[in-house]
Amino acid sequence: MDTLKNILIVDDERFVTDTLEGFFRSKGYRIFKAEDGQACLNIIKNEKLDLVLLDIKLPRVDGIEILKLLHKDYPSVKVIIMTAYDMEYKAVVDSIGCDAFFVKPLLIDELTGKVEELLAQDKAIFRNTEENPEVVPYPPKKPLSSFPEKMLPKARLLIVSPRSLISDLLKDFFAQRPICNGIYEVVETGLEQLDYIKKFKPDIILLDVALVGMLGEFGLTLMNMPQPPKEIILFGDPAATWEEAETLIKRGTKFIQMPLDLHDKTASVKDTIERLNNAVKEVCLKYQLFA
Amino acid sequence: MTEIRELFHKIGNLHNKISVGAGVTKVELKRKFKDNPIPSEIENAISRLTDLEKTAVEASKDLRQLKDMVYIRMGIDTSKPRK
Repeated sequence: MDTLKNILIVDDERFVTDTLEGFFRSKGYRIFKAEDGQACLNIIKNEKLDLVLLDIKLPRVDGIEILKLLHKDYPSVKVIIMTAYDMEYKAVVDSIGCDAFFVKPLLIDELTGKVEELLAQDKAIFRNTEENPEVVPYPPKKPLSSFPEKMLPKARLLIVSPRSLISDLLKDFFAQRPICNGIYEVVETGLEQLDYIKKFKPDIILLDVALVGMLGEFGLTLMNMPQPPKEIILFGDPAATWEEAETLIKRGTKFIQMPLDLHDKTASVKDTIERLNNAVKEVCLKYQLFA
Repeated sequence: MTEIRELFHKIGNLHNKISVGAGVTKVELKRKFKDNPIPSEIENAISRLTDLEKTAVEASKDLRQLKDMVYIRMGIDTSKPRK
């Protein structure tokens, strides 16, 4: 029986495909390579692949289209995204799903470790990012659970918080909920992020009050996007930049109180997150955001 | 003229070539000597390759900061100042 694992390497830089080809072949894998999207598609259709190392920016057919195809028609094939466009495609890839996301420049030890890990297991997993901050966690390809209802409330969520601990908590929570139809997390409000957010088209923004009044051009652009969010839900501590937040609340913006100090025993963070979840659900029902 | 987005992408790819080239060569050298003591000149070469990998990553981080600074002032697809 043929036990060699088949890996397809897709990158528009021949140096990279050639170098990785020699490297992984010497480790005992069967290697296919493609330098454009069309060649990649041909290999996907004709070969039984175990893993694809996929660049996003490719001539002819881009990596996002290929990722969608792999996700839909070849769910057992593991996919590692490797891109120089770290944040630009993050939200889009996030909404489709992949097994690992590497930001170039690639470190060969980390890449090898991930390839070996994925090929050694049967199921996609959440990855531990503590050892490698360049590897971004993604939801598994299939939802962890599903609601019995036929019509599921679903929303594309944008989390904006300067507190990475909070935004990571929320991201981890919502990424595993059926209500989440894509998620994007913003810790720094750089203008570069706006391009990604415009492409992501969030339905709901979960906005930390700590940032209200400090969003400036970033906030204005968010509100004036061609497809603006249906609603903003504020969360955080009333002590933070409260005047500006109050103005928003008077206009009807929801506010979910959350302690700034996560060790504050007087208010349960878990409870706050659950209330945020309910608020998201209400917005879905209000605007009929269903799967 | 190359647009800013393309230019940054090209520089990112150059960093990637450096890190992949250095990283793979480093691992292959280690593998070559895995059953024998590594000569000191090879040890030094491996150390320099590791430095090169790290340098590419550092350069890439600086490039990202530079991108943020430039993108505030210029359109990434127009290469013209933002109004």
